[in-house]
Amino acid sequence: MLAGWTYQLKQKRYLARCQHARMREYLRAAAPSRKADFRKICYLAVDLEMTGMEVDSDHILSIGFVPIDNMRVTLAGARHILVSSSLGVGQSAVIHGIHDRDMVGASSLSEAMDCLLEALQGRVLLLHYAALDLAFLQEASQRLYGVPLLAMVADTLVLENQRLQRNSAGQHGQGLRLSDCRRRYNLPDYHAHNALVDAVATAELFLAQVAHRFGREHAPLTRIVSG
Amino acid sequence: MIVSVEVAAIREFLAGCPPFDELPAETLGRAASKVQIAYYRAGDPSAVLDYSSPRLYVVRTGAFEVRDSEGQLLDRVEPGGYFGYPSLLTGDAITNQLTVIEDGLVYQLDGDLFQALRSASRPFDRFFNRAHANRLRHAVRFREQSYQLTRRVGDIFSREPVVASADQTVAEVAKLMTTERVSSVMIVDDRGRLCGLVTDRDLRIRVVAEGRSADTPLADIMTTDLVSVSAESLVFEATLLMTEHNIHHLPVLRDGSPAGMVTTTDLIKAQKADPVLLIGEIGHQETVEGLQQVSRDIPELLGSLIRAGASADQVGRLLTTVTDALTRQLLHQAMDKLGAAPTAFAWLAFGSQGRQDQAAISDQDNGLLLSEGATGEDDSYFKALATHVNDGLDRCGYKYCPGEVMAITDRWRQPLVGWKKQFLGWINQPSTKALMHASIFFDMRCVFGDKALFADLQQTVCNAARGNEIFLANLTANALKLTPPMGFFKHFVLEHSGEHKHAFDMKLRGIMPINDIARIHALAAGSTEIHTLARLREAATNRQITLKDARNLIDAHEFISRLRLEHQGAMLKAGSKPDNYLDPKTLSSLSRHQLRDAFAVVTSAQAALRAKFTRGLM
Repeated sequence: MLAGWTYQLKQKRYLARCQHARMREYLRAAAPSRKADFRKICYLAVDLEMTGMEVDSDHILSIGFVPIDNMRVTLAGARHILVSSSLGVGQSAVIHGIHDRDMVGASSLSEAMDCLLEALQGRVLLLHYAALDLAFLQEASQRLYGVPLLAMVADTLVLENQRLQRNSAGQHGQGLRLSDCRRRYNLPDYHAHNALVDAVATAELFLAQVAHRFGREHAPLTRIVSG
Repeated sequence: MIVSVEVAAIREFLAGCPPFDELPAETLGRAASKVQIAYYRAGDPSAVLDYSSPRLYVVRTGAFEVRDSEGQLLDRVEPGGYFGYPSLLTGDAITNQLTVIEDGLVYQLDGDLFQALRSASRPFDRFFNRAHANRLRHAVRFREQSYQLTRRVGDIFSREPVVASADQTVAEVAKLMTTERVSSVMIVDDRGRLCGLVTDRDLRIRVVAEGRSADTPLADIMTTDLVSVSAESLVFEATLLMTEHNIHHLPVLRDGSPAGMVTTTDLIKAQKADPVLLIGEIGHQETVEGLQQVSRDIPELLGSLIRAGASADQVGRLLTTVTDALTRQLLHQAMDKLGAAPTAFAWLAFGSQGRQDQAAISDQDNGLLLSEGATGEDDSYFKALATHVNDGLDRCGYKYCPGEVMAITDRWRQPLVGWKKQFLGWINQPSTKALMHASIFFDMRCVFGDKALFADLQQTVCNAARGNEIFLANLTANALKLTPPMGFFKHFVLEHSGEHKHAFDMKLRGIMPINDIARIHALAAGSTEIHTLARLREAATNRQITLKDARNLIDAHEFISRLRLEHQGAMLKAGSKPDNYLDPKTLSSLSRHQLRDAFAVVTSAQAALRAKFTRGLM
């Protein structure tokens, strides 16, 4: 886990290296306090749709995000950004329902990332299976701003895995996909798949997870963020 | 490009919740994009309601209970339900409390958005106003006890005051009291102010017993030392005063002038409208006149049940319980008069009394089942018995059956073998015409008498009907003649002329078709169940119909019956004779919408019935 001082160190180092105004502003903003109760923290639930799983050869098709303020998912702050690409959508259109014809007028990756950075400022980045989406975000950040994306991350998949291990008896083999996790909390099935719906689904799952895990118990943010 | 944000899943959910379904598409989209979502855990005592900023809460999953500040249960909210709207409507601070019964996700709309939606859509506004009114009514029911204590005298006295002046004579006032059918008269001075009281007790004690003439002026005999109350007094205070002074009449004044009279009867009425008390009283009546008197309270009982928000099913069962009690008491009276019955018998109720779904207006449908060995001589006893009961019921407000389905009719007063022959004729040699008026007989119940005798008949009927395709086909053909009053383009088909122009018969076109469907499934399975909702539940258990269809039909039956009750309650309140005719224009658009849905359920159930049972006719 990234301790507070490492975060600050990186913040300084990246600022020294990065000339990009949008990223500099993001880096200068105060990070969420690790010691504060997690309920006082603001989050941004994010989901990406990609053409595939390979960072080197695949790319981002769309970014969906929705903020959580005062432990309430706030749809007024939600965004769904389609990212243009010269490569076309290809096979994955079957999954995401995004076709080439929808991409007319889509944002460039740099516009999309600028928009994400603005929304993420001062918030914890909330993902389901962070490793994959984060790899794509890091790659994009490195390419566009010359520095990796510096963020505190909470991962609903990790939180769920921790829970399953805590109550390990007879719990083996339970699915960790977003929809599997949601079903365990009696959350509704959302059928339509796109980055925004999945971001909202992740945000709701997070609220359910922390309500079950902590109840009214005071818990600092460090118990939730994973990197 | 940043795509305009709307989460389809949330929009779709809201679109399925009335009254959001009545919002224009664009408004709905705007509302959906401003939702906030929170998750609450069962048993979490932390306040769910945000006391600082009232908002509309829409339950997505889970279950919640709303209680008032004293912990009284006001509402139980499940997915698709709402809470938080009362303070949004009234602007008052939130005082209710919320308990999470089952974990759940709750969508929230802030106050500004809620108000914007109200002004954008009248159905939306009306829906929440009605929901608020319903909840208040609910609250009243839960506090019936304290409600009784807070009722005012002005709410309960039944008529305008009957007044006379002090210089009128005893003869004049006696005549007045007879024509007005009152037991007391208020005496007023020339300025209209109350100065005395004359009761029939005064006429007896101060006139007749003392041998005074009929010309005596009222001034000589009236009570001037008066106890009275104002219309604003509590019923409770009036009761106390009357007990304290041992009086049965209490003048009610408004600004010093007579406003009415409260009698002990009014007080009893105000405190009862309670079926248990009513049935208790029925059991004490030794004359038909006594029963006639008691049954005058039935409309009052019906009114209070409707006001208390009882379901149509509950009301139907309660009213039928009262009819059953009246029938039994009449039978007891007859047997006291005629002596014990010469052989075993059973008193049968058919139709709505059989099904236990009576409403404000009910005709009689009954019969007498006599034991196998009943002779012609025995029959003259039973004819006298039937006459007493049928006449008695008529005088208590249950009109003679226009089709003469009553125990006094010879055909419907028969030994077991005769009844069996009658039923087996309908079942084994069915014709659509013969069965046209026979369906009510298949909703039969034993109200009094020999249960074994009745069970014998019932079993014979069930065995003969079970799986009898030709019989069921004929029954179905008849049932399909009554269809919901819906046109091809989803408009209501109404009476074009006559007394009930622009209206339709709720019983005939809405409730009866569901009763028919339930009856046919019960007979097909050889079931002894008679209650429509129970028949539908049983049909679902037997997999004759799907659970979903059963629930839809049950909901439709309850909805239409409830509309009918409210309609009849309003007519009773207005002092007119209740009927079954409803003008859809008098309904809110939401109720009209629900009524259309209810009729659609009936229509599709009829289509299924046709497919399943009418093959036997082809």
